[in-house]
Amino acid sequence: MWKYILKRVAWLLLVLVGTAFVIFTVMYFVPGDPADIALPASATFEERQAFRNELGLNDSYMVQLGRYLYKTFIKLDFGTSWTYNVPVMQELFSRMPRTFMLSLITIVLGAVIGIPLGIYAALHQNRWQDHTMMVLAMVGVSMPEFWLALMLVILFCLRLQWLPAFGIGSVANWVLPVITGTVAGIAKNARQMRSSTLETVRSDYISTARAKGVPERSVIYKHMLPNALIPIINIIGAQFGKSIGGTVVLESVFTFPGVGLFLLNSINTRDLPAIRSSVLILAFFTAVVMLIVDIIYACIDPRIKAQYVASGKGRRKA
Amino acid sequence: MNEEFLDIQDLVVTYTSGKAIVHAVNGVSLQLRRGEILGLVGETGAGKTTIAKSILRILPDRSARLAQGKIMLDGQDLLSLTEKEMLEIRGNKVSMIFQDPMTALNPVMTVGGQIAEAVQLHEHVDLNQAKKKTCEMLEMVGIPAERFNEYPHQFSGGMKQRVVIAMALACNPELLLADEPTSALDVTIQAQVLEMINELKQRFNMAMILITHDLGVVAETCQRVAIIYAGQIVEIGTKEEIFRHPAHPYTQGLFGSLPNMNSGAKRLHPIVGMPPDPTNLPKGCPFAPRCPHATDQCRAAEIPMKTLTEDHSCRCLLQTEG
Repeated sequence: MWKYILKRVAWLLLVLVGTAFVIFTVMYFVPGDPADIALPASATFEERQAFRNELGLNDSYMVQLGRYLYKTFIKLDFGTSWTYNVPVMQELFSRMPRTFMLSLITIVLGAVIGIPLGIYAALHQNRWQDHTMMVLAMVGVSMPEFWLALMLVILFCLRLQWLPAFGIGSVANWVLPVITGTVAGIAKNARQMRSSTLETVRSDYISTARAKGVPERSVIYKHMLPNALIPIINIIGAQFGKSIGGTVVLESVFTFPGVGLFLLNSINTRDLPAIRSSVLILAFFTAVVMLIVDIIYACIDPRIKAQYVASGKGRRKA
Repeated sequence: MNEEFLDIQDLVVTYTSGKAIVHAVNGVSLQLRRGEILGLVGETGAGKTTIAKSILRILPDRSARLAQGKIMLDGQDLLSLTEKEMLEIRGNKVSMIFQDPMTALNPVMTVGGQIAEAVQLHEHVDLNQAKKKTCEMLEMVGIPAERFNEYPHQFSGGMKQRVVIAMALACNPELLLADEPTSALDVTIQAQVLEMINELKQRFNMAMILITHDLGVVAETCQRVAIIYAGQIVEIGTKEEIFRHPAHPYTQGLFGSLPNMNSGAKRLHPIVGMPPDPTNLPKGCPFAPRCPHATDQCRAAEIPMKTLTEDHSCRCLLQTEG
């Protein structure tokens, strides 16, 4: 198992280098000159040229790429933001915890609320509880996040004036972003959990457990739940990864000062060091979360664990 | 004390599937003595498994309905027991072996844990004692006790079936319902498993209902045989009687469709046609549409059970009561 984790960590480094390479290349070829955006319109050609020289933007692609990768991965220097004039990492370190917390809260709430609802619906299959739940889930899944966010802002901030529409000062600021981010997660998890529970209910080993005289409660919690959770964990992991990178929408609607908003602003100002580092840190967190999910997965399902261990030893079980 | 250990009277079970009502079991009555093995033979969908699940009352409660009948076990009316009392019967006095060992074990629990669960539930012992008993059971079915902590995916099909058997026998049941215990296994393993079931049955003097569609298995293990067709017992009797003098045309058809090494025939003789649609059973004898001897009288009304000899009865108008 440890060998497997080690191998995955090595992969993680490779993924980061790959991400750095891709984001650098993409930003290199994207039109728009940072000098035009950073300097006032009245700046002369010489002034612009000096600005470019100072940042090394006149060097060839290979030279710039080499310098960037060397700085980032060998010297761990992530550069200074051109717009804010502060080290990018300093800015990201203050913002990342917020983005991470927002993601974590929405994912945990989505799981904690969505999974029991899905089980409940499955255990009441084809009765009114199930039908109501599935209609609601359908609505939840179909609603675009930004639209829901705007509707909530209109209702709670403008009409009722219960909650602030932007900022980060108090707990109240977190309410709307969390609700917006959670709705789709709850709906997705409930639907997934329902179908995965229904699949488990029909399994032979559930009949075996009943035939052994296991009380119904234990049948559900001990035999059904762990099996029904296996596919869900994978889905929640993917959701988590996606939501860390995907808080951009939430953060920009609610002006929530996280990495997503920072990234968006940096793109608008062609602040290359800020863009690259934001993407890199989002990639890093996503990869770590996926790694953790895979490990949890292995802990629940012995079949997966056996596979990991076997592939770690360089052989696979048929 | 009642001589019959298990006495099923006029059992009727229906399933609802969408708007249609599936008549799975239609008035089955059968008796079983202590220590006896009854073979329940029939095609897929004839209602064999439903009968076994009715005894344990583990039919899906949403779709299945035990419409009518009485199941007496050792003088106790199983259908009038509460769910809580039923839990004490399941896995303890009556246990069941399911058809497919590949899917009958919970993939995320160790095999030892699954057996120990049953022991703990019924013998009210602590975990250590349950483990000890489990190891004994594993050894008894020929699995080294060191494999207690392994998971089902680490076992082969035959080994899994041994685990399932160990689990079913862990609490010394008085009645074992074996639902096609060997169909999913290859022939050599089949023989081993059958031999083991036979041996264990002798040791514990259990009564057993062996559900199968394999007449060879019946010949090897059972004392009595019931032939099921479309949710009805069409013929029941001792193995010798049924194998030597099959009375019902369906039973005759079953034997006729077996390959015979001596006759030199190139082709088998299958029973023509398909079993009737259980949502729309024909009036009268359900086998009449496929029966070469069917008359209008057969299609008119339900056929009563006739006693042919002392322990051989059959639902067919062609037979005369003996």
